[in-house]
Amino acid sequence: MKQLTGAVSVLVLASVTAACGGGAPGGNESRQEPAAEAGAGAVGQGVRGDTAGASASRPPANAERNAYFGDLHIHTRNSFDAYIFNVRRTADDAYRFAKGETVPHPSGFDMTIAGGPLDFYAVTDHAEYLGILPAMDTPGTPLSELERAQEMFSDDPDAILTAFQAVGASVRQGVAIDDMLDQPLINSIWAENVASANAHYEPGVFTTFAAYEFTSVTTGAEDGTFGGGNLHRNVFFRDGAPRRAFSTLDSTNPEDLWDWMDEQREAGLEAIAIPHNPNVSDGQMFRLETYDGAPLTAAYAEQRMRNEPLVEITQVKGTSETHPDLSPNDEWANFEIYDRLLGVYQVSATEGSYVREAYRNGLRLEETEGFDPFRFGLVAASDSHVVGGAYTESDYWSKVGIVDGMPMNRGSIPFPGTTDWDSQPDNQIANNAREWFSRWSASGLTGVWAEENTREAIFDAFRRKETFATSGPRMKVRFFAGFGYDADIVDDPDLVKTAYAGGVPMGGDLVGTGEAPSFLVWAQRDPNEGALQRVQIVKVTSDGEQVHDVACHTGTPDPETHRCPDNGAGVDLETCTPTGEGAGELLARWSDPDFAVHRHATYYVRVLENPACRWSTWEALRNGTPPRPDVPQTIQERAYTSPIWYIPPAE
Amino acid sequence: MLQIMREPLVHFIVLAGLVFAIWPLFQARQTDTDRTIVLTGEVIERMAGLYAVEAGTPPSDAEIRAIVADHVRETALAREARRLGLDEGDTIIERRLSQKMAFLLSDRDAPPVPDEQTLRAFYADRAGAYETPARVTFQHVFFTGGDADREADLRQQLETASQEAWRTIGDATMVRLDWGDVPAREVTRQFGPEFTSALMALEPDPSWQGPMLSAFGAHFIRLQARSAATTLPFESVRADVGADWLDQWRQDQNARAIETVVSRYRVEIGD
Repeated sequence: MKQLTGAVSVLVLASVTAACGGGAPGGNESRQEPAAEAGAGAVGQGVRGDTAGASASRPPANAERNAYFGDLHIHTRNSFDAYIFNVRRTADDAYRFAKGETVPHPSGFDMTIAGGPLDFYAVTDHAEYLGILPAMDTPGTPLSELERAQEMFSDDPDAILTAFQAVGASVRQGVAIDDMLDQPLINSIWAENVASANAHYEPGVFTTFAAYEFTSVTTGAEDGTFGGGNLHRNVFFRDGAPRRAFSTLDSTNPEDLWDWMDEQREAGLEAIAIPHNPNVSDGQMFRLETYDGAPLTAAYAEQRMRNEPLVEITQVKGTSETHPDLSPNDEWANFEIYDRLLGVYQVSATEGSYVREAYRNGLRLEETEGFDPFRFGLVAASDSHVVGGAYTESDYWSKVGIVDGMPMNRGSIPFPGTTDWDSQPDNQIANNAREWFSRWSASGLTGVWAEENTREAIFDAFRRKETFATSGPRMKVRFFAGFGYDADIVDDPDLVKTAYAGGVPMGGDLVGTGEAPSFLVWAQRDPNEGALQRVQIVKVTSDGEQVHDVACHTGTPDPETHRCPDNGAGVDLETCTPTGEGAGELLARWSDPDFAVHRHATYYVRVLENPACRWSTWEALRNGTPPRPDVPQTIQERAYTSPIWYIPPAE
Repeated sequence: MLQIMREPLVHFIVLAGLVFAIWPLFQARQTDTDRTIVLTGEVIERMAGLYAVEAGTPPSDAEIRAIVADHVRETALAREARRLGLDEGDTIIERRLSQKMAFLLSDRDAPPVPDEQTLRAFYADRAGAYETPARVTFQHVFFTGGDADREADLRQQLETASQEAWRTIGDATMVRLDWGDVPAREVTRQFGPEFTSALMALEPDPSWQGPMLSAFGAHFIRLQARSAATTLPFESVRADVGADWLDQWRQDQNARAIETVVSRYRVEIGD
């Protein structure tokens, strides 16, 4: 009997490999892992990627901090709503995409990142039923034998929809489908995602994190159907990772997530959560009540800020800075607004759903109650479910999978069989394109100011809120405030050093001394994207807001209107070529003309590029059809910094 | 002999022999080979072995009987299902079978050991994969550009500047002034593509060259070092080449085997 064992284990091994490996067992992956871990090592290892540190030594830390760019919100096949839309790529594929390799989209074309490799990237698969759908679709697994698995992967669209909706309802209601909730499997897939992040982490060159998405949505209907407010958050760990991820199947209440994160932190696992898409939260994200409807307290504010120092302000599903109804005097407020609740055509409530209003309400609470639950910084991401983000207007693929992979699906070109926009059919593809996909954006990226490209340095920048968000381009923005900046500081050859020494950077609190502060703003264009038009400072107080242009490509801001002269830049819509000039860098020292020593005020920077064709215009141009009339033809790409909070001196 | 007769496995084989001896009596009308389940000693040993590996002990009599009964049941049901055409159009069954087949095909032949000549030829065919990127070390002085007098003035300043004073010449820029041993791709990321191709065309020189234009403006350049993209010598990447060759061999072999199988079938595509 003994001599049989060897042959038998080979057979067992073989069947396991066959079940999960598909057509190509073994292969590249296992061989490349040691190279990634070894980093800069022996010749012949790690030299193929043309990344910055491939064979050079790790760059030294820079006390004045470098800008690093990354995407903090990426899904793979392990997310239930990615797998169902034919996404089959893994976390490894996601990191390879971010490092510049080409990865296929489920609709069959190649995706290559615009603008070269990113500095950091985070796979944030939905924790709920993590990896369960792939298992249900793998013959031979117990999960594949479930009736709901047979239905979900059948040829019957109704059966698929019903089975999939049940999963969505379970995630939203926080009520587990017991036969699908294979917790040991979920934990093992979580461990795989963490292992992939670790394998691709190259200190000094490319940073990854253990991260996942907590998928909470309020739901109005008892059956858990779509139509509630989005309360999703991504959770990131600085060092190491917990054994399991807290999901909505544990609790749909984000405050319970914070309790869990507090426990993790106590146990040595530092973590933060980053909410996203407040714009489709139906007023829930920045509601002035707790999840259960109780009044906000100082303890709530403290716990929220301890766990959620950042908010994602722009991504494929629209921007969350402000809304034209909330900021009627801001000419740039109507930018990539997307207000349809998840999965339905119903419009989200505006109040309680936007960042600038939350800053104002935070100051209001600060002045009346003495606490501010909304003193968060800003980041951006794509939320791509196809492992790679589409950040540039001229090469866009949306984010879901096969349902929005082609221009026809997202309505940038007339529905097949039609040639003009007046005769669009009333079918689900055309309707979804009109209500959802055509309004989505080629966005966005997070910039951080950190000493070096490591987990520790970048995570600590998150904590300091020394971050900025862009709608896709890699423009860089510095922002400082201090009381002693000389009038000629902009000519200082050690500008950044002086600025750090004499004030606070973005994300900081500037505590009053009785003097008026001055602000220093410095923006640089993305060398591979459009030139800059203007830099603005947005000031928010408990009773209002103002937008000041502070640096212009052409001329100086008008002291009355606080607006730059028109720089005459535009776009040739026949070719999508920019017309006119723009700035490479803009630098200004600014003082607030309405500064009040004893009033709280929040200041953040908005940088605007010259106009450029929107992705939908690019696709129409390539197709030789007129651009869709119900979305803008051009956009002004932009960056938003985390604010600096002015705290009045104690009276 | 008596010793042998006490072995459960032997009991089982005998028992199985009996089962299959009487099987045709129950299945009088079935004559084709599809209706025969052959259980050789080898198959039974394999099943018993599997059991032993999983359970940690060899199967008892009763357990062997259960194993064989299960196997017969499974096989018979599977054949019956196939006879009724239940496997057709079932995605799960088809995918499982094709996965199994593809795996068997890919593992059919032991990989050969490539000789030196084969490896060198493979390496030569894909030299791009064994390349270190072009790298540069340079300093730059930035100014907005477009003003000939200013350009001349800055050039003058740079030519007479002391060792470190160059850093204070020109306009402020957010881009770092020193770049040490960076790959061309990083220069493109930071300065844009036009600047990168202009920079890569310069020869290293201790004096200031340029100005060259970038997305930001104009730059005087002091190019200290530039290494072209170099192909790593075969000797230093021998192990990688070997592993890549093997990957490629497996992929080719697998594709060929699958193609052979597929070519046995006629494909008809309906409307």
